[in-house]
Amino acid sequence: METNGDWEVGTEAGFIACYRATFAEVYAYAGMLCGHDRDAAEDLVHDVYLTALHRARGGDLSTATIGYFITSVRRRHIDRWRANDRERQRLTLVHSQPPPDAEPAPLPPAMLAALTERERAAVVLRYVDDLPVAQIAEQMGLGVRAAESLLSRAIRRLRREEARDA
Amino acid sequence: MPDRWIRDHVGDEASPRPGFEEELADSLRAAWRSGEVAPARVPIDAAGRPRRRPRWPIVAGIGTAAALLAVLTAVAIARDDGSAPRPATPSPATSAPAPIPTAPPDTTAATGRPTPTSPTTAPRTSTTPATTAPVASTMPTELVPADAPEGFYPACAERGGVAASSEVTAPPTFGPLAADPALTVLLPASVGPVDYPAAQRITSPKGTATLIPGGVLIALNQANGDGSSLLAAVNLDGSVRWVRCTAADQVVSPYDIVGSNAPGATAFVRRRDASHLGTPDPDMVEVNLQTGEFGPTLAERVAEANPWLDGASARTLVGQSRTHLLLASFGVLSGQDDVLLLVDRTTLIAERLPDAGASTDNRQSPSLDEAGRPVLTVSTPAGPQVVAVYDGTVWSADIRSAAAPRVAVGDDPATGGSALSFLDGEGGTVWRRDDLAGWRGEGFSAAVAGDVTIARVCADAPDCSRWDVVGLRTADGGEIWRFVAPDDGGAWGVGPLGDGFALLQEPMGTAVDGSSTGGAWVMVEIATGQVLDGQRWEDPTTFEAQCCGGGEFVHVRRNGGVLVAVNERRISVWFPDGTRLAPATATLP
Repeated sequence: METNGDWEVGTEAGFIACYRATFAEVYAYAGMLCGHDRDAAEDLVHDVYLTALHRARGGDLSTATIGYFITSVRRRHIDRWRANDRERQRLTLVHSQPPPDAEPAPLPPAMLAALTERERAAVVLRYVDDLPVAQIAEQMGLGVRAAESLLSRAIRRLRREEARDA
Repeated sequence: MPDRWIRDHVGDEASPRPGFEEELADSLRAAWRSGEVAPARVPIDAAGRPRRRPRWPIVAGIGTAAALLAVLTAVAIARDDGSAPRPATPSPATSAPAPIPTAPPDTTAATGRPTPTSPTTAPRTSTTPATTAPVASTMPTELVPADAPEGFYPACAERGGVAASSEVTAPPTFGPLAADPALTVLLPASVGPVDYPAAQRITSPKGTATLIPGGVLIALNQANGDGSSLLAAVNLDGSVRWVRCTAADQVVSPYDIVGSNAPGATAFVRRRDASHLGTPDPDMVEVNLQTGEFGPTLAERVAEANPWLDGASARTLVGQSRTHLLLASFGVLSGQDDVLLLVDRTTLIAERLPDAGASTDNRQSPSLDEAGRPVLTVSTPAGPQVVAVYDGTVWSADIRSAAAPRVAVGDDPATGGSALSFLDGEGGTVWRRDDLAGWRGEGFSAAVAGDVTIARVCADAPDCSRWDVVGLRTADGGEIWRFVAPDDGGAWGVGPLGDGFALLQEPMGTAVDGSSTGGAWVMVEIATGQVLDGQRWEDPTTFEAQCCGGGEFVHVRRNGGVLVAVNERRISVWFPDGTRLAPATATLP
């Protein structure tokens, strides 16, 4: 049952109704964060709903909002990205290979998805979530100026491609 | 930038694969009914590499995954231990790069760069600082309960009765600092409304602080903008002079000290009724620095000291110098019944300035220039431009002596960046560096420091993943020194500066283990770019100032030669090197 955007998720029916109502927006947000990596977006959405289900079933979560799921997606994505970053660097040492995300992919026409993982995350946090740069830096584990540079670079790339297309 | 702009750049990645919604719904139903829920785990493939998480059901195989994770971890640790083949590419840097002196500037005119008029001096790198790296101090570490009530945690509790323990005041000029802060104050947390998730509602308070004789005046406001405030005076020996807890509908922040700069003096704090946030400007209320008691407003005090004003009142502080305050009816002149008062800080005796002939069309803002003279400015794309100066009798359009030169950063499509221009007081271009793309976002961009102009410039336009800090001759824009960002990205930062010295921050990076590295602060002599021996602080938060909203929680204020650094739940007060003050710590409330 939904009241002012709050879904009661204490029952299976309530949880599934909440899932149905929020899925499209939650997936779209995850998709923006993950870009062309559809598997990653599906993993993310899967994890977020499953975790919420676990909490709802255990009685820790009685109501949920779209904001709750969006926030969960954001945190989980950044946590995963940071963990992957660490793992990737370790694997680089082991396998003597350059990190796969070292060079940005060529940008197809004005697509957010073709930014690097870091750039995309920064852009989504800034312009979709409207977070201040300081918070983006904190969430991404960067210095404020590093986050500023990241955003600046991403926007420049998007604008350049946009101008080229135009 | 509107959300829509970004959404225009989103492709089909925001749409789910056909059938995925149903698959996940089935999985969720099954999970609810089975009662078994898979804990979070790190997916591992047969070769021990991270791989995509399998779709539901994922209960089976947890033990296998855990075992593989353990194996992978063991392998990684063993190889990191020295048995691993050496990487073909360099591993990420784990220490901050030292500032790299630039070669003398290109003296050819091919790039349009100005020809230096005198030999340049590259900055000397200080790779072995004379002192060990002092770390600012710790933050409070207590856990705030998730169900803590709204307000400060620990809750604000008033106290008083402690006298000022010294009369130490700030030396007037800025320069090399002591290795450790003279005073560190640890702050309570701010707990927001209970209907927020705990992770969002428990934060640092919004802190402001200013030096007072013998201590520091601190105001803490709730992070969510309303609710109660805390005002406190803390002595430099760490004793808490007094704490005031304001009503829940008031927001308080210290403005500045007005009056005699001695013990017993009063300060004025900005107090705004939080239920009337639309008020053009908050009242400035007197606070007794010895007792914490509130008194009349500044406007009332000025009226009391100047009965001839006969009701003409100006309550908005628009400028201040060491000797005077400038009060106005509003921050922008309306052209109708504007009151402008030049007020002596010590006596509060006022002089009413003549009508400036402003209108609502030209939006002139009154302020004081660096010499303390009243000026009127208008906003231009290149920054505020002085249009009139008060010469002691009348407003004059002869602004040559009043308007300060400045650096403007403008669009430059040719470089994809923003060229630096140096403008004289009247707005005329003195020189322009098309080869330097300046920073146009919030935060430090450029500053004129006497003969040297300091600027943050993009080192790899148009991508701008690297930002250098340069010292340019103010006279002609020739480069004197440069601190170069590392090849793999990063940015030098600029902190407080003045009186011939500047605090710069080394670029930050990410180490192999994910932790941040670098970001140390160094004190630099502006004339030469030379890093001073022993003037290095490894902790990146030491003199940190954030932009874009973060500045309410992390900023630095310079009081003459003293820095008061507010950083989340810590305030530190830094006196000049050689000041004999034993480091002290206090905890609020």
